[in-house]
Amino acid sequence: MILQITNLTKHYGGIHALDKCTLDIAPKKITAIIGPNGSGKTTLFDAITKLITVDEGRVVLNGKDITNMNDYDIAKSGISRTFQQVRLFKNLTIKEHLEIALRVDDEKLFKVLLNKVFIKEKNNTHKIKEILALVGLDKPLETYASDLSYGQRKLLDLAIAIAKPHTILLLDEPVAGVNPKLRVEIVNIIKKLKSLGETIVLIEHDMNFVMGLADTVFVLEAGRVIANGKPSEIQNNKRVLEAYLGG
Amino acid sequence: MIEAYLIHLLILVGIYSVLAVSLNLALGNTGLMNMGHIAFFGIGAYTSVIFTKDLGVPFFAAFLIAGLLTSVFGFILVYATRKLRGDYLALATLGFSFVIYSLMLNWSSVTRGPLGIPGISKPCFFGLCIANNLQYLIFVLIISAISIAIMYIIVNSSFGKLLAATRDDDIGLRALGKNTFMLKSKALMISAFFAGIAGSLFAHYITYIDPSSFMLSEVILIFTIVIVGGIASIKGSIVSTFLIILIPELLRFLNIPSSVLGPARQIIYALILLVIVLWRPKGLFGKIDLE
Ligand SMILES: Nc1ncnc2c1ncn2[C@@H]1O[C@H](COP(=O)(O)OP(=O)(O)OP(=O)(O)O)[C@@H](O)[C@H]1O
Ligand SMILES: [Mg+2]
Repeated sequence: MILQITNLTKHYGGIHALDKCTLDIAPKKITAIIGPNGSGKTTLFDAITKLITVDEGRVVLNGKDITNMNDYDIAKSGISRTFQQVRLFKNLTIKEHLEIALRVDDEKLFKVLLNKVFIKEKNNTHKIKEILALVGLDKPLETYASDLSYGQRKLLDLAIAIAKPHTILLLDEPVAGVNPKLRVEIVNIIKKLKSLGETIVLIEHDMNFVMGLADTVFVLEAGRVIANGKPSEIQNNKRVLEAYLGG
Repeated sequence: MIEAYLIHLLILVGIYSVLAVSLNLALGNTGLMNMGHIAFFGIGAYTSVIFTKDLGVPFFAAFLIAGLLTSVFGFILVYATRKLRGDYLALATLGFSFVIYSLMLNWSSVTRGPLGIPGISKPCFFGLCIANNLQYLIFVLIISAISIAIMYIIVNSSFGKLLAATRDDDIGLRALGKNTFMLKSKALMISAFFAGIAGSLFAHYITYIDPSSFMLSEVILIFTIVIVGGIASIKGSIVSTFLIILIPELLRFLNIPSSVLGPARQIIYALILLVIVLWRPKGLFGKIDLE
């Protein structure tokens, strides 16, 4: 198991956003987290990436306990994620986004300056074009993020998550709000990523969407895992249907 | 006569352009609403003067110490305000400049309080001293050019792109594995360093400093320069320094009594700031606006 999540609990006042949430993520597979609105899916990602601090529980990545690490250290140790509301840098170009994601030494000012003055900075253009081709973002590299459409922003967000060195990809509703054509394209990108050996966890509230895509599905309700298994098993699970129909 | 006056103004332009570009590095490039920049200028000025005058340190060493010590204050300010953003950060940094101002005013044993420190020596290098204002102008232009070139290289490097990214979306950048607190610390330390050496240049030019040069009202002046020139635009800050320093000087040719001149200048700064904010929020050369 590449990622082990044990008993994660997060309360907001009386709301149990996460309630002893326990799940394991298998490597090189697509795992879907589904559940009705407000069931704690995004909170789960936020807890894993330390955007929020949990009340209790443990997160182990590749055998290493990351529960008490900083958000950026967790990101550095191999978790890439996208956000339900995309987070981009509006005054930076597509190319600059991907360079930031690809580089690992750019925080070291003196090293950066020495490289800039004495050595030619590493040219990532080839790699950048490769990733953009993979996600199908067909815009000039110098386009500013603020000039992209909603769908293109989703693709750029996905591209930087892929570009950043990682061992696992967490995607929060990668197809939410996009048109049906782009939806199909994004599904194909996710399948392609799997074939490249990526480990993918994706959040989605539409049960039908994950049926043909995921290897394993976890169903959340009120912050708890109420069912898990192959999509076909989940589809006919009585508790899951009740949760979805508000039974 | 007019020549001497022009040299005087150009020296001020040189010093203030370093001050403005360094503020822009924090405010425009990194998105840190720092209202305490004028305090950095003051810390640099006092440090340089105290080290040369009271401790007998040679000018160039004192000049660098002024930058470095101010940089330490920059780190203290970032650390103390690390939980704050936007308006709250602006308020806290305003408080910082007030604290530093009070220190200059009340720590009399070191700063001589409101009396100020007169008789500050002109810079000497290995026994050669700057003898007149034209030489000082050349010295200021060299230091300004080097300072601004360094800041230009920094903001256009891959490190500089990280500063822009933390300004645009801090959480998004942390999710990419970057320690944004360290980035902001470095940005403000660089910004403070250059404000500190600008302070040193100022003190050894004017040869007399007192706390009034580093009052809150002076914050308006450098903010006006940065905003008129354009957020995150170095070229804008330089052009704007010329405009903002030179325009009020035209008042002198209108035979306005000197008692009115000071307040009139403040009014002009405030008016220019207002016009730009309302009519051209991105400033003369800015591409971005802060929300
Ligand atoms: N910062 C917060 N403060 C208070 N309550 C919160 C906060 N964040 C989340 N919650 C609550 O926690 C619960 C889980 O929210 P979460 O965003 O994880 O749901 P979700 O499954 O991602 O829903 P959606 O499908 O709408 O994205 C919700 O009831 C939400 O209102
Ligand atoms: Mg959500």
